[in-house]
Amino acid sequence: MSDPSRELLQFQNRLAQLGADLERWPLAERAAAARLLLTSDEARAAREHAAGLDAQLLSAGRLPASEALRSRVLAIPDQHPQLAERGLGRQAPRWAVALLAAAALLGVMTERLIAPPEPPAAMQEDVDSVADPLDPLALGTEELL
Amino acid sequence: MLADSRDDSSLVAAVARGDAAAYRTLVERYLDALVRYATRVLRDQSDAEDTAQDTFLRLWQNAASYSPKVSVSAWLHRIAHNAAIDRLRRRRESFDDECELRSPKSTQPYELLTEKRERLSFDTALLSLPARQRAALTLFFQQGLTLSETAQVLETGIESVESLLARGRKNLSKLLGPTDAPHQDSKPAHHRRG
Repeated sequence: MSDPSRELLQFQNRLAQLGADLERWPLAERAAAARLLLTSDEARAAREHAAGLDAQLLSAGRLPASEALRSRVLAIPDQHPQLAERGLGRQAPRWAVALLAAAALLGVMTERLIAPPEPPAAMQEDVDSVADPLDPLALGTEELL
Repeated sequence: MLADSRDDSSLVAAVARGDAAAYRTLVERYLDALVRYATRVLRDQSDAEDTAQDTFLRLWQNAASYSPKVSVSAWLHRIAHNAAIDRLRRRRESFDDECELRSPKSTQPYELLTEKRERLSFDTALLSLPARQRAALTLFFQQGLTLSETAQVLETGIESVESLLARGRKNLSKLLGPTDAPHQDSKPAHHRRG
């Protein structure tokens, strides 16, 4: 069985949030609110009070935009091409990716063509031994593991 | 000239294909509302007009990015909201719910105003609220967005919006004092949905 005072409290809380117009309330709560309004003077008085604030909220600051602004906004299509018209947007990344891929491939091929032959194993050990011990990038793989 | 009867989503799809007439219809439907919202957030008419212009430029150039998962109204308000927040940041103001209530044209906090028993006009009282409360009240009560759409625009949850609305209404009542204004059964200019 429902508790009338609790129902009234819930109704007043909802009024305080959503105002007096039950059409703005969640659908599931409207029927119970309408029933309460039929039976409770307190509920009706609370709704009347909330409706006063609603009316002021609805009517506040209802000025139309200036004609100067309306003209500027309506002129936007004449002055600003859409992104697709500028040939940018979706095509650009495809090009950029293709160009980057071609450059990377060219770089790899060129490096292979001009790179000196691999040094003998003994010489490679000498090179490792003079690496800067403070440079983490110079550490061998084994030391990192 | 006959009014364009296409729904908002169809108009945005047409704008994405370069249909300037569809764009003009959306301007007629939303310009006043977006200027009003930006004015509420920024408390400055000139900045609000620039924000609305930025919003329609984004609409014209990026209509293809619209997803019908959200209403066009919520999407445009979200764009305007982000543009307004950028402007607030440039003015080194925050968009929060923490600052004390104060008159927009005075440095007096709310407590001093009430001590002096100043009767504020409704617009002044609304502009005196913390920014997030102003935004939530405007989106829900004036712009006619649903709770869910208001939450989408403010990037928060529905419970948080309900709390902002309750605190905003309570603070407005405090600022206005006992009201003797007769209430009218008026509706917002835009969509009223449950």
